[in-house]
Amino acid sequence: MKNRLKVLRAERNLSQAQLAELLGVARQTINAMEADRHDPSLSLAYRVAQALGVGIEEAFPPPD
Amino acid sequence: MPALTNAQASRRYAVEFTIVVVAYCVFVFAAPALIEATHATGNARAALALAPAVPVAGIFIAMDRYLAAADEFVRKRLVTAMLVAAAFVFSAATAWDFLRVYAGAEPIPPFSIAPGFFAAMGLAQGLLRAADAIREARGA
Repeated sequence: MKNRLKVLRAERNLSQAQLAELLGVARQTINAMEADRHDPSLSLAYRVAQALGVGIEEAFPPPD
Repeated sequence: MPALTNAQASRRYAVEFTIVVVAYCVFVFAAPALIEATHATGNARAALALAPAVPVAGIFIAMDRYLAAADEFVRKRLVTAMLVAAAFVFSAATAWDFLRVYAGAEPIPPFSIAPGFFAAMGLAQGLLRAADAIREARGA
């Protein structure tokens, strides 16, 4: 599942570790999502979008 | 936010895992020593003989608590490591038993199975982490 997490996180000057702490997940989980190695559950996707202050479709754009 | 953060769940798992592994080691040595010292018989002897198996069950309870609390990516990695360990131990034990029956190989002590499983799981977790780190370093 494509996502814009790396860009959105960088725009907010957040490190992977900081975002992971906000979400209560491992830093490796953030890295795996950004690298498209892990498709998050709907629950985690919502929490990530909320932590970044965007809608879920902005963080995880729907496929063309 | 989950009830426990991933870091808190990891710490709790590490503490619980350490406690049950220490208990296993103590019981493995204490049980035969107590059987010999007390000349226990009947139910008491059976209870002492079974004592080392109790912490093995405890490890799985600790793992279940960790799986319930860990974040989904960590959970997936732990389950993969458990699958790799189970595949290795079951395959190796089955193969060895056929060798024992048909080719005269020496029997493996059954109580080496549990430590073998946890060693294989630890190794698999380490390899999965290393693979993640390599991919991360390559920017993949």
